Amino acid sequence: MIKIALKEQELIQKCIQNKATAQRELVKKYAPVLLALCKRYCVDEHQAKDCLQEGFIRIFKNISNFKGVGSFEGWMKKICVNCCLTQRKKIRFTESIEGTVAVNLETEIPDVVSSLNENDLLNIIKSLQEQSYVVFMMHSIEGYSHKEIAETLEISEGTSRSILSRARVKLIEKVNELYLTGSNRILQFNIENN
Amino acid sequence: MKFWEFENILKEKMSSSKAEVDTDKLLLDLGLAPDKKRKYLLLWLLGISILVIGYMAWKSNFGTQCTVQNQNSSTVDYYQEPTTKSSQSEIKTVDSSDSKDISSDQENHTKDASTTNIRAEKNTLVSSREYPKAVENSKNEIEEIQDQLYAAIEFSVSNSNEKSEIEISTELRELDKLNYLNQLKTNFLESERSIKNPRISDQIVCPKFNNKNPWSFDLIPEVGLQYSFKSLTNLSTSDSESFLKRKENEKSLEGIQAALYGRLNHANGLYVKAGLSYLRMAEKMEFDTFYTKIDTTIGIVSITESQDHDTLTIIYGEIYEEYEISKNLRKHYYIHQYDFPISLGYSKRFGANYFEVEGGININLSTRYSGYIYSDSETFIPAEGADLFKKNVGIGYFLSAYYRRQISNHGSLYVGPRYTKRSGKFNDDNNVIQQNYSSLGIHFGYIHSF
Repeated sequence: MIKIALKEQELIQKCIQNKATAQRELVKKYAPVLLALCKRYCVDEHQAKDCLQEGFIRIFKNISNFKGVGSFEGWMKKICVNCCLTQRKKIRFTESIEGTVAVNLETEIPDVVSSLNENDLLNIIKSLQEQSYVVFMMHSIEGYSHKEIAETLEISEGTSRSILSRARVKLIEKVNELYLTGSNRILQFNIENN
Repeated sequence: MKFWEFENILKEKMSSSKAEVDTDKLLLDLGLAPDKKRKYLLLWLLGISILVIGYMAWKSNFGTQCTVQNQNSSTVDYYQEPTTKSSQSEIKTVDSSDSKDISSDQENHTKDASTTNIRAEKNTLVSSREYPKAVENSKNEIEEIQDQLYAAIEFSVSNSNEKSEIEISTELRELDKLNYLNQLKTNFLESERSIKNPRISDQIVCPKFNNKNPWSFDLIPEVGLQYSFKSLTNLSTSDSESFLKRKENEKSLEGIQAALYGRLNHANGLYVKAGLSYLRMAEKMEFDTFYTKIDTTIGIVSITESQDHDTLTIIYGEIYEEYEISKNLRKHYYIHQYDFPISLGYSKRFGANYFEVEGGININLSTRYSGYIYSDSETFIPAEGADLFKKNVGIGYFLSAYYRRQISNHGSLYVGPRYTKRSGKFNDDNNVIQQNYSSLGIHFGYIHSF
């Protein structure tokens, strides 16, 4: 573990020194993870690849600003998410959404997801509205705080909380619906939402 | 399952998910793929070529020299017939060894001034059976010296009564010389006999002269004049003004080339050639352009005469005059290429004339640009640094034919056409005007054979 950490630190140092070999290694190591991330935030694969490229350009440009606080991968992911959100059409957030819809995280939902693969799960989440989808992904999957979401999306923290609550409620409904209609409905979700 | 568990599953599955990435393309897009393998391949090729050519050149130059020692470990200089077919009159010195008699005689007579002549004579000794005439000549010359000495001694003996001790000692030295020459003559006769009737002695180890080396090395400076055939292709969906203007008005001029090659020849006519080449291609953009210049002056705009002809009204005002001005714009830009050409060829000799054909690859080491290139709206920008062109255009192919004429033992001149196809595009990936070249040139060179 220490060895891996040191190796990553060494890699970062070499990237700061603009060493092409280290930059290539970094790209090879993290591109698959970051592309998967970009795909989650972009409308199509082509845009995801553009975002990935733009993300790496920004990473190399700003790598000297990485202070070593938190994980390096997490830092890179944030840069890529920002690239995706910039590339994606400006999302309209309804600031009038106020008041948090009560959602209980202890709510029991049917176990239809443990057997689903990543794409199927992604399709369930994509059935949410665009703004709900982005906030849910940023908070629940990427681990952004509401403050960070608010800064990134230029909305208030309250709006972020509100959107997340509504997204969760909607997801519970979707999962229940999926359970009732059978897992084959997942495909239909795709069609409907696309 | 609780909802937070559902979220955790989502997070777990998605965080660890990976997508398939075309890493090479991504690295290329990021400008991080400097064709590393290819670069190393080029360096390897370059290094190996230099080593091989250097080794073969060394071998062809020094391969005929060998040293063989006999049991006495004494050495005598001999002459051997040269191995290169182009320089039959040339004689190369090789180290060998021979009988100790000659060496011992040589030692005995080194103090005597006359040994200088004798050594000079000895140096013409030829042990090769191909040189009976040389042996004959040496023998005759020694016989002449011998006769002269005999005559001198006879004369001195006849006047012995009048001699001093010094004179007697001189005569004795002369007698020593005579004995030495007799010995030398005997050796020559023996040598001559052995040439006519060769026999292998157990005492003598025959030197293994490497005179069957099939390789030879040439050094070739070359100059050339090339006419380039350029193709411009618009990669964009719409034809830009820049593309149309360049397509219509940009002309390729003659390019000049200079190169230095090393060539490794085999006796069967095949050869390998490699070197460094510089080529400058020139492009000229010339077109006429027109623009309208409006000149404003203050003058009489109108003169009006009243009905009763008593008043003239003169109105002054600005008068606009339009001039159409034409001008001729002409700019050049240059492409400088540094290449590493490697080729394989075949040479056929007809007396002093040769006909040669060769084909090979041109590995571009570097390409740079100078001058000004048309941008748009009748403006030109510096070709260097505009990110319009690549710094390396990859590999090209060429095919040549030469007529070669030998002008001396070591030198020959050649002239011939060469067709070159540059497979790589010259434009940068961001430049939507694709630029490719092929060229036809005439090349002159001098071949110096070693």
